[in-house]
Amino acid sequence: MLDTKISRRGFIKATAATAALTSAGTVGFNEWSNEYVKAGANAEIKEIPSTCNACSSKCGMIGHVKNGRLWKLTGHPDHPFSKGKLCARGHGYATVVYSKDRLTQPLKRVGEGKFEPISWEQAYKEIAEKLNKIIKEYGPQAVSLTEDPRASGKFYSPRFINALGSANYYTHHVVCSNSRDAGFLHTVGVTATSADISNAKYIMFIGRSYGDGIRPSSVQSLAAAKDNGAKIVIVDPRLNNTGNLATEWLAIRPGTDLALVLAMSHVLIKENLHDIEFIKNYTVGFEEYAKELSKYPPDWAEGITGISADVITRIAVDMGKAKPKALIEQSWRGAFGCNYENSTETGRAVAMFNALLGNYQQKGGSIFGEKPHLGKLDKAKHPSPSEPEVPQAGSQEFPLAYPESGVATIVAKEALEGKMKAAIYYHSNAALGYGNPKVMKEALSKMDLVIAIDVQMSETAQLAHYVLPEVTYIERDEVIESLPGKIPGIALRQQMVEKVHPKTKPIHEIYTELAQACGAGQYFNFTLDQLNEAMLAPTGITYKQLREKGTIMFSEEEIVLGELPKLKTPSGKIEFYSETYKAAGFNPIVEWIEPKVSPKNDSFRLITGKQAIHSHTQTANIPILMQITKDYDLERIWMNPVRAKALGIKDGDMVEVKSSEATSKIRVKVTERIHPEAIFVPSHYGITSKDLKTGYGIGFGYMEHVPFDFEKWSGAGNIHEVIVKVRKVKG
Amino acid sequence: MARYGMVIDTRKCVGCYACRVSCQMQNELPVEESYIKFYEKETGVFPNVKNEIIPVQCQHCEDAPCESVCPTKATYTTKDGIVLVDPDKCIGCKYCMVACHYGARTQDHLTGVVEKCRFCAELVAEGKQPACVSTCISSARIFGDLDDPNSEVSKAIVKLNAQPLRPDLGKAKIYYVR
Amino acid sequence: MNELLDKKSVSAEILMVFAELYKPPTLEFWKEIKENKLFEKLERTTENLYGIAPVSLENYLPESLECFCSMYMSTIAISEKGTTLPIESLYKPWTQDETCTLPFAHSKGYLQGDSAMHIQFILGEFQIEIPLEYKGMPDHISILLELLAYFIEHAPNEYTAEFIKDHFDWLAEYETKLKEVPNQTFYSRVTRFLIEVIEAQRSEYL
Repeated sequence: MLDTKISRRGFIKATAATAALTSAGTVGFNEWSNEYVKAGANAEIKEIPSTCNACSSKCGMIGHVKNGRLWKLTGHPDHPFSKGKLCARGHGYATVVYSKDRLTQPLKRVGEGKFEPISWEQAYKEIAEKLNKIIKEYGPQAVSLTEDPRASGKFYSPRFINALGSANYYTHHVVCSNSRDAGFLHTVGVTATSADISNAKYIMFIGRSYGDGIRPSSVQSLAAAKDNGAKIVIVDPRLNNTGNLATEWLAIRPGTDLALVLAMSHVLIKENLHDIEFIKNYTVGFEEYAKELSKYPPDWAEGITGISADVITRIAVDMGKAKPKALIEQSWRGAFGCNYENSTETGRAVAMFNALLGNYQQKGGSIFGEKPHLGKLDKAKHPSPSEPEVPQAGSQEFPLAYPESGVATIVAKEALEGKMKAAIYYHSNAALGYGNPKVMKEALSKMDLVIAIDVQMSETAQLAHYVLPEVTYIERDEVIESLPGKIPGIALRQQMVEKVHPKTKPIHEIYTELAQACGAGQYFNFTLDQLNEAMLAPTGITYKQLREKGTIMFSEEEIVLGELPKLKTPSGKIEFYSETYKAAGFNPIVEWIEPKVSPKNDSFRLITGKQAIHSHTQTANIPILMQITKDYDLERIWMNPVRAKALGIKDGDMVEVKSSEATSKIRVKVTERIHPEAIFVPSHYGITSKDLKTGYGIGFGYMEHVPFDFEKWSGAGNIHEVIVKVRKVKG
Repeated sequence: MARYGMVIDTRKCVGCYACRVSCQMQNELPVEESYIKFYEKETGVFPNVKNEIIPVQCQHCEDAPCESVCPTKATYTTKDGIVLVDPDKCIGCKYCMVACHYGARTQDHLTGVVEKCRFCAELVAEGKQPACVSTCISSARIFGDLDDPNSEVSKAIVKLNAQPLRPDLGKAKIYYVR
Repeated sequence: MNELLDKKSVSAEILMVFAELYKPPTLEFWKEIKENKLFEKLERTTENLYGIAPVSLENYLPESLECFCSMYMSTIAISEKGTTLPIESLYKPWTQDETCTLPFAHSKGYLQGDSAMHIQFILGEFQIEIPLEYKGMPDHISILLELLAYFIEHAPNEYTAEFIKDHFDWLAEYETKLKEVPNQTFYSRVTRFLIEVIEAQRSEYL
């Protein structure tokens, strides 16, 4: 005998019945798996409608579940974004459920890059103590919460931070659409319109590419528009992958889109092609605007944009003739979401150009979507936190920014100044993606408390004091998602399979329990199901019906085209002249603004964008997607042949890219598809977390080169205000 | 009996790779292996440039060269015109890989069998579309019976003047609009 | 007859010790090693029983429990990221189900593969409970070894033989992966040792 007590302490716990059952034996693996596979043909396959999480579109999808495991995914036929289809990312990202790289239990940092697993109780207790201490010493304005919002987060995250008395809620939009949102908000009263693409006759995209930042239904509607003979113009320093569907590419000098839009607006008015009736009924400040526009004739814009005055005139005239079935698509990040010092003003000019065309709420034009009418929690039973006393950090510096998104990088700025003491990051890799990673790292290191809530050990999680593991989107129910649009609707994310890691939790539970630990549990005295039931109450739809269908569209509430609703601007109309701007100390009339930096003969502007197979860095660790990058060398930077020749660079050569912030090594794709002044780098690469084994070490992260900065109007990240030099190196 | 074929409208292809991933999943391929390859054809000089993305897979040739060189008759054409490989007969000699004009064949690292696009024969037998067709987000792919003049694919070939990728290399059953 | 039963219970004991080796180290376990010569006893027993030459495991053990714990954490802990996990599913294709169209259906490296489903099935059949944190990975080596120990003592021989054949054929691949992990030789030694024990155990049932 071994004579050790070790051999008597085991994990497994047999019951009284076990010995008897075991003595009879049971089926071996082969027999079992044959049976299992055979039985699979008859096994009940549960189809659970839910939503994807591979990008921010959250398309409807159906999970097919067999024997408790995920088995197949298909697009939800009723969801307006998927329309029955799923893109490559939608399939690939599901891998994350059974990934071995997931977070499995709460972690506490015990040294540089060293973590120790702790219980939820300990995590809640310690976090609550620290949060309360910080609030007591520095006030609630010293704590913040940032997320890339999904349905549950949208409801719970702001409520949680407000419950702590802080207004510091932020979203990823600071490096997405803060500029466009601000420009649109103060012109048409919403941060974004949608576009009736399939009915449009003339469509201009500025930086936005349906073929690279994919939503399946958008590509289908653009293909339909093309089949109907629509003119499709792409304005972009690079010929993006929507190029195939386009009728024309305007290879604009990066950072000068504003000049193009101003000049086209100038032409519309000069040629009397603006919609005078629409302008009279629905807008304010046209006279002042028209007067300013007289400064911007096409030949002025030619010198700035590099696009000939004739082309500018022709396109503006043709769009004017095609109105109201002509539009500049509203875009997301594209060229004016967060890219240049003039991006907010570009957003404003775009919204105004569409107003000149009178295309709002017209077939083939820009659409103000209708929201579904959903209920709320009964405030008597479930009190909401009161309005925080101190305003959101950053709201004074950037009064034009959309308050519901805020300026997320202000957290880092105030941390460096010693003002911000605690930051919670939920489903957000801010340390890598929101601002210069070196600055972000320094800022996060200065805070007394950083908490990351995620499914994987992201770069942000690595810098956190506590890491809380969430279940994946395949394993959780969420708050009902509202789908505004021509036809409003709702969608529900639902749990498809049991939790793979029993110690992970869905976000609504984490917030509820953490709030209880912090002494703010009274604001979370309801279950997720109660909340969803309350939201559904006015719709006449039962929770059971929604669970069965997943996506429900309210076709009887389809908006009536031709009628412009009262807008949410101060005047209730489209504002060519903005009192809000004036009050905030900005020019109330849109005007030409120079980009902050410009390349010289020996340098380039570094620009970035998406590829269809990835969602920023979120999908970098998915093998089936990253293999495509490897097969087609998609991580390379793009350079124009004229510049490449002058630098002695050939296609496939290794080069060094050097900016004020960083130096990177990368191979080059030499292509006519890029403006000579620009270097394009896809935004998906440069993973530095060694725990993400598939993504680690491929390409470089463009954010490393972006100086930490705020655009003056919206606080956006100015991610294209980067100058680099490139030289050939041995590789 | 049918004679199955496909139209690929490259003017609509945005190179999203959804067909590749969906094909890999349908055919249980490892991530490194794919039946669909992508070629980019850039023409013109900045700023007057055209870029074309051409997805290429087995063209299901009539009198397929890969079939005629196969020493074991592992490669065969079904009565519906689909060129298939019988994995039990394939000895992995790779003659077919050399004979294929389109580089459409790939060898399975584990089994040694040389495989290729199979027009998702099982799905088609059930009356469904091949995976690459049903997933295509811009509907750039149309599949159907080339012998039926009323099929969507036949009508598209006529209407869009679709042509085989390389008419000089024999008769293929995938037609491209370019 | 008694001798045979004894041999079985000794085999089971050996496997229980191995099961312990892949769990987070505890003070009790450390004391057993240091004060009660656990490794020496283990190696002597396996030599007597199977003729496996002693491997002097203790030489590869870090000097303190603290170092042992941190080596465990950075090498095989399930709570840490980027570790080389001793879980069967990760070293086998995820499923044999040909109708499964997930992108990783036939790839290695994913949890809850067919082998986990089989263990779950067995646990259910025999009404055996395992700790909560292992529920999502019931084919963790510690669970497999404890099950094997139990079967050796309680189940018919054919069944035990089949269990060894089904669920212990991935250890060589695991050992290869472990060898790539820097700053530890302990766990690759333990695994090599285990492979030999399992091999010996397998031949017992031939």
